Parts: sequence; C-alpha cells; structure tokens
Amino acid sequence: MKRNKFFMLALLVALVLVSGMSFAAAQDALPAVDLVLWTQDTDMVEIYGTLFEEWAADNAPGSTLEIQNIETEELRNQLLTAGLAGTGLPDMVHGPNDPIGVYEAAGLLQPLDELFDMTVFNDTLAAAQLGGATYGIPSSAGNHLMLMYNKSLVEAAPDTWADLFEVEASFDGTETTGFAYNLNEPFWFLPFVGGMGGSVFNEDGEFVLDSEAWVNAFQFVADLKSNGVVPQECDYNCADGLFKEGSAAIIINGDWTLASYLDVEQSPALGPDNLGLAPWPAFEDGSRPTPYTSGKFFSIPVTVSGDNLAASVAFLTWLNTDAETVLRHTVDFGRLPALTAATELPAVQEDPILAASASALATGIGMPANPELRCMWDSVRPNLEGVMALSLDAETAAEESQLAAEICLESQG
Amino acid sequence: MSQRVLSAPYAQPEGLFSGLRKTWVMALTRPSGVTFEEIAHNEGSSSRRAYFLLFLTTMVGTIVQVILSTLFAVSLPVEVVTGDVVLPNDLLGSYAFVVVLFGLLTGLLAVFVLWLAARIAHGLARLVGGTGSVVGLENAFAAYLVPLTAITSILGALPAVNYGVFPLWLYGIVLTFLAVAGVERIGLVKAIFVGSVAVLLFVLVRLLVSMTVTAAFYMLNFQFSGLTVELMINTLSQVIPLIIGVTVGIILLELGLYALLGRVLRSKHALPYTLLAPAALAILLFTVYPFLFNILLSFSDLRRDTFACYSPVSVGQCELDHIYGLDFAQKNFTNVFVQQRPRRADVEYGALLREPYSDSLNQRLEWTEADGWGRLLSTPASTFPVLLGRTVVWTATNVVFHVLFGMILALILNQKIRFKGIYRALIIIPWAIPQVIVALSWRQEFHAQYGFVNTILTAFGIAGPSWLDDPFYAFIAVTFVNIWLGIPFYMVILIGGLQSISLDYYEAAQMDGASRWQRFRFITMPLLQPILAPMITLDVIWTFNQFNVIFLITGGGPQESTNILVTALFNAAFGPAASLRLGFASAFSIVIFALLFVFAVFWIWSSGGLKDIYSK
Repeated sequence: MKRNKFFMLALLVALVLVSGMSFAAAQDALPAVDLVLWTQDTDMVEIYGTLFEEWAADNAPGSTLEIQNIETEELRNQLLTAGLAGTGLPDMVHGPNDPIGVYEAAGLLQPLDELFDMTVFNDTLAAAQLGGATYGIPSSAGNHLMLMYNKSLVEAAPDTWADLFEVEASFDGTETTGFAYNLNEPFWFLPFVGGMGGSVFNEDGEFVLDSEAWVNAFQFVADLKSNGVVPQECDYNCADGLFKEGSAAIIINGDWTLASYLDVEQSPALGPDNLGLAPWPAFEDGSRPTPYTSGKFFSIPVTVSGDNLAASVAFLTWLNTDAETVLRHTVDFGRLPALTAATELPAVQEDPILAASASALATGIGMPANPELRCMWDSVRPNLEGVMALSLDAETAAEESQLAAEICLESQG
Repeated sequence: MSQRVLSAPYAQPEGLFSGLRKTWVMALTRPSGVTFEEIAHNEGSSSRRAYFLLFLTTMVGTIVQVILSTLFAVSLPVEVVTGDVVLPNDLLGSYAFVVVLFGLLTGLLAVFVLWLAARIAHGLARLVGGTGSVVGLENAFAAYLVPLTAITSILGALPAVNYGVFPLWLYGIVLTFLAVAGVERIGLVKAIFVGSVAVLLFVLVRLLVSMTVTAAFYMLNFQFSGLTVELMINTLSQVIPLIIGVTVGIILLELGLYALLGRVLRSKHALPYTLLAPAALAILLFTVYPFLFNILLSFSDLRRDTFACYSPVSVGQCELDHIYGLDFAQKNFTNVFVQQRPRRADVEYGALLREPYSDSLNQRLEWTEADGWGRLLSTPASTFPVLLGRTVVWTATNVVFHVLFGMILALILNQKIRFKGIYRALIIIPWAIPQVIVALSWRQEFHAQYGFVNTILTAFGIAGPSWLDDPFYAFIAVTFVNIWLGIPFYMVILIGGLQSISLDYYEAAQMDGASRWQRFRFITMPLLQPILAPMITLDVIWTFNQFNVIFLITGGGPQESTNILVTALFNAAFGPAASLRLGFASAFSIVIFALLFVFAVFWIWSSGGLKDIYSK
C-alpha cells in the first residue's frame, strides 16, 4: 500500500513536471508563420530548407519557408521593383554584400543592430555596415576568388605569374587548356588592379580609375590574351566547365564553386584528391593580386514586422550563431564560417581545403558596400571587353572607365 | 444545305485498320476544311475505330516515351542528369507495371478528352450555325491526333530533336480549327472560336500526358534531388485547379456576356462582341494600362537617390517637393539626347590622377556638358544617334534578307515538288522553337573555340574570329541569327499569298510571251503587295523591337556595340548597368515608340498596304 502511494505520488510529480515542461515549451514556441527567403546562392537552397524544417519543428511548429533562388542582378531588380510597388518583399534576403548598399540607399532594409548580437561574428561583418549601422548578418566569410588547380595535371600551384606562364606553356599542343578564367568580368579583373597598387575610391570616396595602376592592370590582362596565356574567348561557364571535366589545369574561381568541385559526381576530374587551392600568383615585385572579399549576408526588409519578424530573427540567430548549425551550411560546402566560435573548431581548423581557402582569403581586401560601387562595375565592363578583344588600349580603357563612372555617378545625383 | 459530293478515292472499305494510312496522310498533308469533311463522311469511318486507335496510340506512345527517355537518360553524362541513377533492371517487375499503368491511364484520358471535346465543339458549333455531327468530329479529330500522337511520342523522347514536337502540335491546333470548319461547315473564324475549346482540352491532355511521362520517368529512374513525387502532386494540385478554374471562368463569363448582349440588350452584334471581349480586356490590362503608366513615369524623377519619394515602404528621406511634373519630363526627355549635368567643381582630375590623361579627360567632360550627345549607357557607342543608326542598319538588313530568302523559299516550295509538306515543316521549325532556346544555342555555336561555326571554318582552313568578343563580328552574328529566325514566317505567309493568285493570270501572260521574270515582276509582286506591305510593316516593328536575340546572345556587348535602342533601354533600366533611372528609361521608351509610330503611319499610308482591308 505504501509502495502504491509512493508510486502514485511519483506519477503525480512526473505528470506535473511533464505538463509544466509542455506548458513552458508551448510558451516558448513562436506562432506558425509562412516566411519567404530570396537567395542568389543555389547551393544553399536545399540545406536552408532542411535546417528551417528542423528549427521550425522545435521553435515554431507549422511554420513554412518558401525559398526562391534568384540570380544576383535579377534579385536586385526584383527587390527594388517590389519596394516601389510596396508589396511582395520577402522576409529575408540572402546574398553578397555589394547590393546591400543599393538596398540601404533605397531605404528598403532594417538596421539589424538591435535584433542580433553582432559581437559573435568576425571581421566579415564590416562588409555589411554602412553609416554606423549593420544591414546584414554574415552566413559565411569569403566569396573570394582564388587560384584553383588540378593536381593530376599540375604538380604544385604556381607561386608567381612567371611560374604560371611556364606551366601554361607546358600544355601547348595538347588538348588541355593551361590557364583560364572569366576574362571579361570586372570582378575577376579588380584583383589585378589591387595587386598593382590601385583602388576604386580615394580617401574622399571619389573614383580613381584613371591611375597608373589601372593602366598597368589593363595592360597585364591584355598581355595575357595577346601572348596566348588565356583562351581566345572564355567566360564563367567556359572556365568552370573546362576545369570540371579536367580540360583546364589552372583556373581562377570563387569559393562558391568548391562544393561542386569537391563532388566527384559533378566534377569527375576533381574531387578532394585532385582539387588544389592557392592564393593568386605574385607579380615580379612580390605583390599579389587582391581579390575582393565579402561573404554572404542575410538582410531583413523594412516591411517585415510582427510574428514574421520575430520568427525570421529567431531562425537567423539559430542558423548563423549556433556553431554546429553553421558548420552544416559552411564547411560542408567548402565555405568559411563568419562566426568566430565556429572558425576555432577542429572541423574548420583541420580541413585542408578550408585552410587553403583561408590563406587565399588573407590576400584579399574587403569589398565596399556603398552603392557607388555599382557605377564602377558598369563603367569598367565594356572597357575591359575592349581590352580583352585587343581593340582598346590600356590607357584609353582606364580613361574611359573613369569618365563613364563619373557620368554614372552624376546621373544618380 | 445540299450534301457535298465526296470524291471516290476517299470512300474507304470496312475494317478496323483498312485505309488508315491514306486517311492519316490526307489529314496531315492536305490541311483544309474539305479534307476533314471528306474524312468525316467517309463510309469506313466509325467512332469505335477512332476511340480504339487513339487509346492504343496514346497508351503505346506513353510506354515508348518512358522507355526511350530512360534509355537516353542513362547514357547521358552524370552531371547532366543530376541524381542517383537507378538502372531499370533493378526493379524490372515494378518498372513494367508502372509503365503499363501509366500507359493505360493516359490512353483512357485521351479517349475521354476526345469524347468530351467532340461533344462540346459540336454543341458550340450548333449555336453558330454548324450542321455537322459528333461522329464526324470524332473521326476528323482522330484522323490527325492518332498519327501526331505516334510521331510526337517518339520525337519527344529523343534528345536533340525533341523540340520538333512544338511545331507539330502547333500544326495540330491549326488542323483542329480546319476539322471543325470542315465537319460543321462553318467559317474559319467561327471554327476558331468553337475549336478553341477542343484545343484547350487537347493541350490540357498533352500537358497531363507529358507530366505523367515525366513523373513515371523520374519515379522509375531517379531519386531526383528536390523533385519528389509529393512535390509534383502538390504542384499539380495547385496548377490544375487554377487552369480549370480560369478556363471555366472564361467560358462562363463569355456565355454570360453573350446572353446579356443577345437576350437582354438584344444587340445584333452579340457574337462578335463576345468573341472580341477577351482580347479587348487583355489589351486594356496588358497594353493600355502599362502604356499609360509608362507615360506617367516619364513625368517622374525616379532614380536611386529619389527612390524613397516613390516607394510606399521606403524608410529613406525624400527631398523632392513634388514627385510628378513637367520639369521632370523635360529633364528625362532631354537626357535621352543630351546629357545636362553640372560640372563637378570639387573634382580636380589633373591633380588627382595621372597628368598625361587629365587634360583630355577634362576636355571630354566639357564637351559632354556643352553640346554633346548624352551616353545612355557607359560608352560612346551608346549615344542616341549611334544607337538609332545601329538599329536602322539592324532592321533594314534583317527585313531585306527576310523578304529576299522568304520569297525565294516560298517560290520554290510553291512548285509541284515531292514532299514539300515535309520541307515546309522543317523550314518552319526555327520559327516555332522558343527564341530563348534558339538564342542560347547559337551563343554556344559562335564560341571561338568550341562553336561549330568556327569548327566548320577551320575545316576549310579559315581561322574563325572571336565572334562574340569583337564588336563587328558580334553584330554579324546576332544579325545572322535573327535573319535565320525570321525567314520561315515570311515563307509561310508568302506561300499563302502565292496560292491565292489565280493560275489564269500566269497562263494568260505565258500565252502573251511573258518571261519568268516578267511574270514575277508584273503578276506576282503586285498581287502579293497587299500581303507584303503589312508584313514588312510588322517585321520592321518586330525587328526594331527585337530584344531576345541580342540580349541572350551578346547582352548588348562587347563594349555595348550590339545594343539597339530596345536592348539599350532595358540595360539602362534593368540590366547590369542599371541604375534605377526609371523616369529617364520611360522617356526613352516613349521616344522609341514615337519613332516606330511615325514610321508605321508613314509606311502604311505611302504603301497603301491596308487600303483593301479598311475599305471593306
């Protein structure tokens, strides 16, 4: 009888505890919401969907996340168009840092300083800060260009451009392309400018595209073309495709490609055994090209409020500040975490690919987020095309780039 | 109405399969109302045979399509067919079961749709004076649906040639209209109205069959990442009710409108108004409203720095005291032609940058400000006169070659030659393939190293240029593709025109000793003019506004050298070089519209091309 009483008491206590915990859990759970995320990062669509389901099951049961994968420029246009219409803006936007400046200038983003603890992120965060406020929290660091080589074709990464020319020449007369990259895209050209001591803006924030360094950089890439170091014609898909199938020995590409290069099903000629990473080769004077670095960021439009804002903030906090979760959408995809705690984990420290990517990252410079950068990209592109077609000389290209950037800037003011 | 006397060769004997080949060939190669009238009244025709053959063909076609898709898919490189390939041998039993099941389902579906389409079409046809029969429609529909299903099932599963199904099904739509016109003995306009319902049902069933084949294919062969059966069912459960809802809604609205106009208002033109209503509504919503909104935008100062003034949700500061006005319109329209911008006094180019270039840079800036043409994009290749000049050259070159080659092909294919139906179908394929696919394919083919254009040139010992890197060759490349795309349209229309010219004129001229050239010059050309004039007008407008080919092949590059006015407009408003100057972009688009409007009015007036149409 006594034993029965004890059993009954224990049962009662257990019931109270369980119901109390359930009550507490019900108190903590967020109301079910339907969220929309726009991302330009194709690799992240599936993993973000999976992670959201896991998060929602514990924190906001019944919630859904619709992920729309939109190309970078198209995403920018769609967000601005939705902003003009006043409807249709997503709950979260994910992408590199440079459009953040445009969105911020349009008054479409919320400052996030009050919503997230910014002290947990590394230097990457600075790329999303404008006018003293933070408009994006980093999901990963990097987004940088680096030298990638096929170890089955090249023994070691060329450390200087002279080494690279030598390696490239060794493939003359073969079916293999020695060196390739996205020739006409300014993002691939800017590192040459930085390596030669140039920059986009001066200290006063004015364009300085007509400098000696810009002329030298234009001349350098023109020489790559005229000397046959690079293919007659090559865009992103060309370099990417040749490298994947083992027809290019060395390319320049960004960290966003690492997941596909490490996957032997997508890249039969590569995989972890054959993929090698290194910083850009050095010039004669020892300086190296300086790729732009930024990372990927989540931003929240001004229209998001109430339950959707609470759920978005809670989900993004978990996604980007829980170290184990961060590893799942960074390290597994060859990306570097921006969460300081995650960068110190063995999974990051001991990964050879990430270590090589990090050393390449160290040679880069932060990409500014101010909207004026847009004018630089637009003014450089046609002039770079002219230089690479060998129909425009380096000096005129630099001069025209400066002029076009100035005109672009004026038209906005 | 007197019964038309049917020609003897098409009266067919009894039996399920007897005389089928002749019926099918007739239905596919002699597209006319008379053909289908003959088929419908054929002694050998029966509903039983029509349904059985359609069921059999659809079922076998589906099975063949799934099997062929599997065979070709497993031989593709791994990266092309993302996912884990599971060879069909692993699940041979369930494979056969699923394939047959899907085949049966699609076969039954096709039979049901034929039954429904024939009845609905006949019911509607009777409303507009049709005198045919349901059985006649069933036989006429089946006469081309059976062979088309067989051909497209095989064609659709073969890589590289599978786009051929689009023109074939387009042809099928035309045949549906002709079948309704022939069997019901009504005019083509009424037949199009009546046949549209049948077409809609046929298109729906083709979509469902295609989705079924895809579903069966993936269920059997792939664990497709992201594309699960559940997802497909969810998507279908959203899409199909929407399609059905819209279709039913439109039919009900049309019937309601017809009843209102005919019964309540007793309008004599109830039917024409009813038929015009959807098009009128669509024009109002998708042409008139955007056009008016575009005009309003050209009176705005919408750009990046003033975005907050026009966005209802922006939290930025608005510093404008008004958001629409004549002053903004004046600025926007002026900016299309000249750049009016104040000199930035705070930038000392010479001091800041390299000395040797600073002087010329300053001179350029002065020149730009004073009286120069404004750059619509980034380079001197993007000023208004340069863009207009390039657009005129582009349009003229395309139209001249379209007319020239279209006419040559039409004259050739208007002769009595064997298999000309096949030649016509082959030549029209480029026009029927979506332009996006054509443009992207050609972009690859113009690649300096890997494209087939340079591969062929190399085979002849010619070093091919960098087609898409060099401004001149890039322009040649896009022009070539657009000429190639446009010729079939001319050919088809001109063949129609040529066939409408009575042979009596040629015989009379021949008897008078006229040469071949003289017959062409004095009979063919004048009699084709009522067709040619509006066609050239349309082609000029289409080519002037041709966006897809240039944008998808070169994006307007290299060095903005292949931009015509419309691609420059898009790049200025939304392209990589976009800076959200929508007020300016709207003004730019109105200038382009004005140019085309003036041209069209002048051309139509001077050529008298539409005189015959409007004078009736």
